[in-house]
Amino acid sequence: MNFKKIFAGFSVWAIAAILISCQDRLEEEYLNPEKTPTASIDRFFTKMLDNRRVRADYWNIRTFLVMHPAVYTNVISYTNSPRRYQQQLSYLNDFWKDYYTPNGDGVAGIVAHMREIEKQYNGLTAEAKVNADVFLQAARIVYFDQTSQVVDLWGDAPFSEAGMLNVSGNTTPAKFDDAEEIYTALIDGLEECATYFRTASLDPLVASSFSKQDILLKGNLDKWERYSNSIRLRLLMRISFQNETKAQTEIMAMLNDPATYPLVEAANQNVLLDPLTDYTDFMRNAVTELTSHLAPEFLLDDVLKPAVDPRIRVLYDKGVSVDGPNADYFAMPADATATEQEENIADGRYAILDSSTFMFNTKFPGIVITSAEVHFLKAEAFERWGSSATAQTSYEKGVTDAINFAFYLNQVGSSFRGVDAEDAVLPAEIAATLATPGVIYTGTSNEKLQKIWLQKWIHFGFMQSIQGWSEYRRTNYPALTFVPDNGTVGSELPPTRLLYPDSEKVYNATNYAEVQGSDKPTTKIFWDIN
Amino acid sequence: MPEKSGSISNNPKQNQTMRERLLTTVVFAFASLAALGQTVSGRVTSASDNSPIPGVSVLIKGTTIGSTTDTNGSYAIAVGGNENGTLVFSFIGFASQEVAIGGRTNIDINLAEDVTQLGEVVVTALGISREKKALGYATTVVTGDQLLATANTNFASALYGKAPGVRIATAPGGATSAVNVQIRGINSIKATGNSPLFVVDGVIIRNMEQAATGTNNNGYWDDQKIRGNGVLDINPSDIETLNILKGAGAAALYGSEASNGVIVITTKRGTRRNGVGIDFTYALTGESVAFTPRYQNTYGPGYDRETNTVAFGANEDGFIPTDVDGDGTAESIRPIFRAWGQFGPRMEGQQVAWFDGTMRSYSAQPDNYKDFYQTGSNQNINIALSSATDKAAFRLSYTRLDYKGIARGSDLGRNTFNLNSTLKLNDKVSADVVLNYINSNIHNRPEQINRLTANYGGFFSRADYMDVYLNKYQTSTGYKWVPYNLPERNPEEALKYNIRATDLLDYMWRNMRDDDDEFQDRLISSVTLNYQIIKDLKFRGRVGNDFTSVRNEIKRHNEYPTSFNGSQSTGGYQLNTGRYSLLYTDALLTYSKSITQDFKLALMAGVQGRTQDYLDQRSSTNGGLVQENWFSLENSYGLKSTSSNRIKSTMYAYLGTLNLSFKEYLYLEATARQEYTSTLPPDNNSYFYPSVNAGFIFSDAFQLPKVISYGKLRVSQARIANGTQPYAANIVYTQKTLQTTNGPVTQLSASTAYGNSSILPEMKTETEIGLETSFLENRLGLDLTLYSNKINDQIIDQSLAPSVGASSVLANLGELKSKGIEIGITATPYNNGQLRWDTRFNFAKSQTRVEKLAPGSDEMTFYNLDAGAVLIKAKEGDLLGNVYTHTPLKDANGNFLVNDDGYYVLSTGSEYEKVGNIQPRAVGGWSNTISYKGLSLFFLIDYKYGGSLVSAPHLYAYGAGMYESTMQYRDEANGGLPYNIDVNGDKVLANSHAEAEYHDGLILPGVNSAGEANTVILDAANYYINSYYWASGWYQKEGVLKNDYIKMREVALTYVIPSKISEKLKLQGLRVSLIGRNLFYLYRTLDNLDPEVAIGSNWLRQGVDEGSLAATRSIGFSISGNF
Repeated sequence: MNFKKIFAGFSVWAIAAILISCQDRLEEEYLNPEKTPTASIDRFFTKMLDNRRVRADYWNIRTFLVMHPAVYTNVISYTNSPRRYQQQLSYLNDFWKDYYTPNGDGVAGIVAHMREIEKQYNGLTAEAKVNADVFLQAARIVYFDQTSQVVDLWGDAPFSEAGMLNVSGNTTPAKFDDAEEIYTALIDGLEECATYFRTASLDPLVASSFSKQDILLKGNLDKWERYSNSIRLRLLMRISFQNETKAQTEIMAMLNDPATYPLVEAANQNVLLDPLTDYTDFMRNAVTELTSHLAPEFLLDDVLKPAVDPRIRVLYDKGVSVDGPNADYFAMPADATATEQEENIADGRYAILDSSTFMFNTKFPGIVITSAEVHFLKAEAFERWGSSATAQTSYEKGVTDAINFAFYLNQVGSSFRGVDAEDAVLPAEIAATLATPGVIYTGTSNEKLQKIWLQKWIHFGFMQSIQGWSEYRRTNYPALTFVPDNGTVGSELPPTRLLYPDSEKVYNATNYAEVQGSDKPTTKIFWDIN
Repeated sequence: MPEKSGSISNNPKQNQTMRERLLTTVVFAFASLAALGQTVSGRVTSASDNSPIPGVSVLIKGTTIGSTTDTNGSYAIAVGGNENGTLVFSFIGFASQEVAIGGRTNIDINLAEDVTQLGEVVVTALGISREKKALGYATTVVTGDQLLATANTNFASALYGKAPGVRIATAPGGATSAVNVQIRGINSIKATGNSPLFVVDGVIIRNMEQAATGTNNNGYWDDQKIRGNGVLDINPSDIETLNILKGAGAAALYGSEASNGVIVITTKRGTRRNGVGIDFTYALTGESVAFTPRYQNTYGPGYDRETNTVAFGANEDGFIPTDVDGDGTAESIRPIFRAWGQFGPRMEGQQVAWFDGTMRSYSAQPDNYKDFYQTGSNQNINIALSSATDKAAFRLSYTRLDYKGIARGSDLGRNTFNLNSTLKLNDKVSADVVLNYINSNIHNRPEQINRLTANYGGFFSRADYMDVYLNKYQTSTGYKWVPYNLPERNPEEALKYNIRATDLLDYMWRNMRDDDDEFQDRLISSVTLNYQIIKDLKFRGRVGNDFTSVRNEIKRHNEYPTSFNGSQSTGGYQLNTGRYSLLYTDALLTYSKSITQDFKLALMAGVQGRTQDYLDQRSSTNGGLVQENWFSLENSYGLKSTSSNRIKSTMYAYLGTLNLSFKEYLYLEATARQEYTSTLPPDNNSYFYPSVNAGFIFSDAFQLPKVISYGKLRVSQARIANGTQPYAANIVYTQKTLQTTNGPVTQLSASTAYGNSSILPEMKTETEIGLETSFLENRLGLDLTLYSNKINDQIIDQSLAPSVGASSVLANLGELKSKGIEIGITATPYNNGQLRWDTRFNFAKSQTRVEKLAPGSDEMTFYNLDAGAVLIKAKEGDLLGNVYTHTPLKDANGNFLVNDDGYYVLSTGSEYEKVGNIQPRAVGGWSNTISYKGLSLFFLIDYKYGGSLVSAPHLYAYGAGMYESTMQYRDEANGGLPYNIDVNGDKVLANSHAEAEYHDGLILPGVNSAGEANTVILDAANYYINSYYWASGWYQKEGVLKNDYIKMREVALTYVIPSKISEKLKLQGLRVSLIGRNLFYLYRTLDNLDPEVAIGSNWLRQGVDEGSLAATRSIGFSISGNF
């Protein structure tokens, strides 16, 4: 029968077709066509820089800054509603995860990518390593900088054993390293990095690739050196009450040899992360959703106004109330009831964050470290361990740079809807402010230090409130008062550190048990001894 | 329908056309009566659904006088001198019945289907039909009629309680929500789910939605909508039978993915009849919110007194003095609208200023939760044409479903076409062609209410008027509601005050103003070629395809006028398209031979292959819409964004079976399968597994007491191996190019879900023994199965501490071990030929233990709720699903420790206590059919016993004082202690209520740090708020709840319209049913939640409530008949 032949042919063909095509397909289809198995040090490096915790990012501002460090330093407003000081554990978890693991756009996954870079680097030939060094060392600076913030917020943290999955596939949970030991490693590591950049000379091809991939400092080796030294200065000063000998020795060694230890000392040396060019968002929702956008009383009424600080006009708008434009910048009283605060907010009675500088600013940079901060650090060092006159110079440079920086932020944001920047700040205005009683560099050494710290606190504001909170805890200055939230048992007042996130507690239970005793909101970070 | 054989026909008109038959039947009935004198007549109907059974043989016992029933199931038989004789009614597939005539002239009879009758054929793995008695493993067959009884929109939710060991969980939300089927407990602890394999007419169908992780398994933030699954597309009206293959033995031939069991669906075929038959069914049901929480209706919004007064400036009663007319004097009052707590003033009809600017009565609105929903409806029309001849048979059906759910703004329309045809090319070759085309449009698929129940920002209280929200969520000009602190956007319509439930307004905005349409076209097709090559050698080849094309269009309206835009706008347009194709092929060669009269042999060898090819593409506007509410990608404010995702996978296998039978009472089957998959690393991508099973019908082998009608013993041992999800094992990087001031710069990101290049296939080994017996001429039947299985190297996404470098890693878990028992009892407790009661009871129990963990880990956490407040985790040897929380500390004598503030102290850090387990201990159902003449009542009760529900929303609402159960301590009537506050602000216990200013005190029983009895007085508000709060609350008490229930699942009261009436309408078999689904609970342990509130397809999610949607109740009717 004819059909039999057809059938035999068909079945043999069908079976053969299925099997042959399948055999090849298995390997071909194993890998996800949307992803690549090829690692690349330079691209991991860019990933580490593209960090939403550095950028003026909605999520970071809304869930981290204005709910935690900015509240704990009183640099933004919050209504007196219950649970205002309570730590939002799931948002803390997000911050922690962003540091350790990669998870989508803008999440730098600092530790994971540092380890991926190290893994690739270790597999290179000696020759290739030379070309990869610049990426490795720049990545380490970023890694040390970010790690110090995790220590400042939480204290002991997984460090030496962290990220091993990305090195070896090992999933053994990491131990919590002692915070002070981590700090030592960071301070030493930053010195190594700075040393590398002091002498580095790059192959032109490498230099070109580094300039491209380095979206932070555009391949400028000098700026990387300054960045590294400046962070090191910040960390040494942070431990200066806890280990004054070490801080003093190492800081003065740096300050006495500026040729070997260049720092971020001028506005054009500021380490700022440019927003992506296709970024169109701004921080209005991030600051208005929790009514964080109103002028806080202490900052505006007790600090800025007495100093006739020109920054008032770039930090705040007077606002428009139901009765017409407000006559002056009015701060929201800290001790009014939530109802009264809300009614006045609804009526538009309070000054609000400046629309060009903050609310609608799509060009707000990610602030890594600025010359103003470095000058304040230098001023403190000279005041404590050197000449008060030199300290004054640094202090005044600090105030000047800080004021100019605020105006710079206003100016970059002013393109929005044709709104002009506020009038540029005049040197005379700065001079006048520097002469006001609260700012002028006079008084006892301790009073001078307090003035340095106060100016630094203003400069950090809410966008750098992680630094602001650390410095507030280290120096206990400015003297802030908080209305207690007695209805929330356990969170009546701001904490002195953040609680470990549950993802670490639960999945790293054995190691967590070692630090559980100190996992309290009232525990102090090792450098916080005052 | 099989042809009757050997009976004596006295119906000379059998070959008439339908139309002629219609006209002549009545005439004929009268004629035969007149001609034959002494006659018995009546109707024969099926006991399960009361449909008439044509072709039933009716014989006077001991004689050759007989008759058969006509198409209406009617018969007439001349009894002559046998008035006291006995009639024997028999028909294939039904239990025969003998009825004494006893002088009667009308005898109606109900025939029950005989599940154990010899010769029953079931469709098993790979679509191979086998005699049920030959099987060595447990299966349960459910017929299409049983699925249709109460007009379910899908077959899976019609399976509640109908098969032992099969647990159904329907996600709330109605016809668009997934129905999860879980066979034999937890077969897999993977995140992807526990769903069995669904096979329609031999073709494995796609059961998942777009997401590779299954449906709703990763919580609200992963996917806000309540998703459906592929089974929803299979039309119950088109199902002839459904066979549930439960164990590894039954499923071994299907290979990977069959480790969760297999459901083999056979669609209806053309039946042999004259001309073309037309069947129709119409059903209409209304859907309404069934079970609402038991809310307290006494106290409105507010916190404790101190917070109310100090933080909010309220008076002692909890009202905020309010200046309504703007004259500077607060002449009115308002409640603290911002409070999520419900400890404010009593709701006594006070006139207060409302946040919409009106004055309203401050009084309880007990139904405002119900009013958040709407009344839905479900209309289903099915028309089927069928015909068959010697050469060909076909059935073509069309079904239209119109569904409106209880979630406002959502509806579904679906058209289903089903063509099932068989062509006999010649004596040796035949082909089956099956086509299913499903076209549907879902508008605004229901969203989970997580933002309203698992989030303080969405809490509305009983003081709230739902019409205010429904009125306020959009402005009169169609923009989004305007918050109190941005009044410049619309000063007239802005909310007057800061309120709590802004997330409720957002929910309404998203679901009622915006449009989210899902259009789906799905074609499931298969062609099967059967070829009898020579007498004993048979070939079968099959190609099947499940192809889906989806388009999802999302239109988000502008939230405020573009004049308020910053550097970007609001609103948006998104277009997602998907193309999912699953190609299935198999080819089997079977050789069967009778070696001797008693000894038969069959050998089968074959290949099977399956490829998946999925593509998803997404394009959307970015940064809002330029021109308001113009929905086009061209209207994007920023650069349009686009992305795509492709998934391909291939699996193929060689397989073979050997069947031996001896004397038709001893059966042995062995199978083997060598499988290859692209989902595993190339070094580990093939694996082999065998199975063996045997069936022994001891009632045929031995002479047994008469009381035992049938007895069979089954034994089976099998292994199934499985790969993983495509690409899950890859260690790869995500690339992205950033637009920077350096120009475009490329970055590379490691994965947060890390792969594993040395992952091994998982292996499940199962042993099963079963006993099937029936007694008293099949009036009582018992089907008992015991099984135990273990899964080695289960592939899981192991959660990691972030400091390891990723959130999870693909890993092989050591060993899982399950054991279980399934019992099915069928009985006909009463039958007198007219009144008949058939019942079936199912019971199943299954327990899974973690025997071994992955090397190096001492415990494994599967679920982490509220920053570690509740964990579902296991150590080696533990039952899977243990729930741990922090619990109050106790002293050596077992007294609770109370701190200086007067509260219980919960353990912290790594100190957890086991407080429950989410695995149910027993599930099952009890179905009953009571029929009397043309009337029958069907009802099905299903139950679940044991198994905790973890519900954070319950804890939050308890802490907020929402429930009736939180009335305790609030006032004198509810046991509050009397106290006064002294000059130091301390609470002092009063001797009596008459001497006290306050009446809401309580002292928690326990001891303080000094070991003395606690004397600190708390006020009720502070007690609830501080003891039952997010992350820090006492979850053991209010967040981990016992969840047992017994539910009246389905009720159908059916009346078969007497043929005399229906024939006047030119119809036959006309039936009308009143139907109800999910009617009420006979018993439940949850007061404030529906026992079936959980969503998600994996085992874990079935024990967790994160705020889904209210449960529904459906009541309506259906009509069916044929022309």
